[in-house]
Amino acid sequence: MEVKNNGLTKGLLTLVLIVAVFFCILFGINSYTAPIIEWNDNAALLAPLFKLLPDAPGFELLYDYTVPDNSSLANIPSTVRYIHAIAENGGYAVQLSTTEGFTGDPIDLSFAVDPDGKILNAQVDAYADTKDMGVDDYPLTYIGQDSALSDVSIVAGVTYSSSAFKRAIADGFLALTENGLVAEGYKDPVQALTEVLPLVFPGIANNAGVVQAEETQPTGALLSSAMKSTIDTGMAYFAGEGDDLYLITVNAFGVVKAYDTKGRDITDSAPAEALEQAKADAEASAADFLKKDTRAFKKLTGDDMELTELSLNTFNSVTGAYKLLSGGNTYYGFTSRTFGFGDMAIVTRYVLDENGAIVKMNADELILEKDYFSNYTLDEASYKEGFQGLTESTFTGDETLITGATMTSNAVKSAVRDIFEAFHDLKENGGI
Amino acid sequence: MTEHKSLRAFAAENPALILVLGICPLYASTVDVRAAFAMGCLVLAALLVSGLIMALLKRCIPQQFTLPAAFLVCAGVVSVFELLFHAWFPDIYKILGVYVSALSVNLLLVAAAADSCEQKAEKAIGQALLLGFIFLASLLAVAVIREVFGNASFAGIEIPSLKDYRINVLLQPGGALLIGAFLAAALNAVAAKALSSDSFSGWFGSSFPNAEKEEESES
Repeated sequence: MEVKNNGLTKGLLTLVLIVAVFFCILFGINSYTAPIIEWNDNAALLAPLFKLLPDAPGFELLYDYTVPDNSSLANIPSTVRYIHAIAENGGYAVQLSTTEGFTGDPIDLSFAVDPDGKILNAQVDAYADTKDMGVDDYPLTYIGQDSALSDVSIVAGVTYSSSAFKRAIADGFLALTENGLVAEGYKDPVQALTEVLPLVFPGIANNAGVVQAEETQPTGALLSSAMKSTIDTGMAYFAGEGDDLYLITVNAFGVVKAYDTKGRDITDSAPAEALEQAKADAEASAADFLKKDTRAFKKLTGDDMELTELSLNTFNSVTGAYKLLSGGNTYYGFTSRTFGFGDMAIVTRYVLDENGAIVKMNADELILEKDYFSNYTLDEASYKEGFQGLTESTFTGDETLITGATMTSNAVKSAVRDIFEAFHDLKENGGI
Repeated sequence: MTEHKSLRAFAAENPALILVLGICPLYASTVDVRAAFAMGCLVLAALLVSGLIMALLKRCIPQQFTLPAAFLVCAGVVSVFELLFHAWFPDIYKILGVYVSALSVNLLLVAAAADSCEQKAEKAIGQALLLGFIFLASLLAVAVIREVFGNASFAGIEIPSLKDYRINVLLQPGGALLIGAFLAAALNAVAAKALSSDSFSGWFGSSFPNAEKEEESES
């Protein structure tokens, strides 16, 4: 029995010893391999960054969009995926992804800045759009730029994707400057106001946010430059001088507003004379759509229709607002001009009842891409009927979808959203 | 006789293809020749180290504790190698995945470790090397066939002429079993020609090529 017990004890002790020895060995090896394994695990994430900056000693993760609460950084735009600090350099590397390109597929990009906020390098990591914006060369035009991005232009013919790229870079800079990581670059007033314009006057910009306007010579002495919307949604002017430069916008109804370089509404404090000059200049160059709209709305509501012009304070794509009396009923007609394929105008008209529900919808021409879609057919009557009864709360955007005609679909979607906004504006300002 | 011993070890008593021991890595890692080579080397290294440790500890381990000790040693050794593999060869580690950890309870390793407890250190090393190389060769044989004919590539290098003739089923686990079966049949045919029928009595339930035991039976 004693021998047996000795054997049992010996065996157990041996097992315990084996466990203890391997525990110590594994502890030691883990101390050595854990940092290497962690580095390897991050390698896939850091590979684009090492391609961006091959000589970088390393990167430290500051922000991960999958776990934003783990970061001390705040107010990060949704396009920003990761922010890294560049080891021993004091600079930062940002990885982003945007879906605002032409096809809506993700465009992944990254850029690095030095401690002064100047771009060291930029690159496209993934690009699925059909038109090549110059994925190897275009990002290099950003090198040396600061957050102002003043010397960077959009690629002609690939405006959606290149402007999506530029906006993404701007988002990256916003994340860095908002958190005090780099200083904001100097943006001259003209550039600042040019960037403010599509934000305060969406009707003058296409779906990519790029202003579509022709430069004209303003008549007012206080106005330094003028831009006329290519689809007649209104006018924009620069007034003032130097750092006091400000923006004046005039919509299709002659309503005037003024904004400073930060996009703040300064209509009440802007010089009244400048606003009057802008209004007069806009009225002189405005296109007259009244006759055409009257004919179009009579077709929609009836020959007995009586039309009264209304005014809107909105600065979107709506260029005509009318009160329509037909058959004893009161309706509201809206004309919208939005940017379709090739930034050409898509003109749509809507008749709404007093509750804001769409009664009728019509368009001058829906498919502008006929040359590119020769086998394309659209049952226009059925498509237009699909808008009947829609209200702001029931409209999802899917009703505007035309298979294979994305630009047109998006243009009509913008138009419908704008006419609902216009209807709201009428209700708020006593037009209804 | 020595030649027959080696041939017997490889053909009639092949641990992977004939004795069907520890075949998880055989079928999991043989989609790619590089992964198969890595797994084979890992098994070889684990066999060597665990066999040596068990041989050195044989005086301390009572007979009834051989198997638990073998499990502990194998688990420890495989864990050490796993950490090193993960750190130094992350790409291959990714391909092999959980099958590296599964080696801790691999029958081939545990049985070989337990067997080493009854031998001298030199014999244990010799046995481990023999087993390890046979296992490696078996893995490579299966991997070459699976990757070349299943994926039209060799060690990741594409073979354009075979691109249109890929046999996709070979990349599935069933395909691996199929290849293993054909190789086993081929080995049986080789063994049947080269060895006497008496030598086949060691097929079923046979332990590993054990020089001491064979010498005893011969004498």
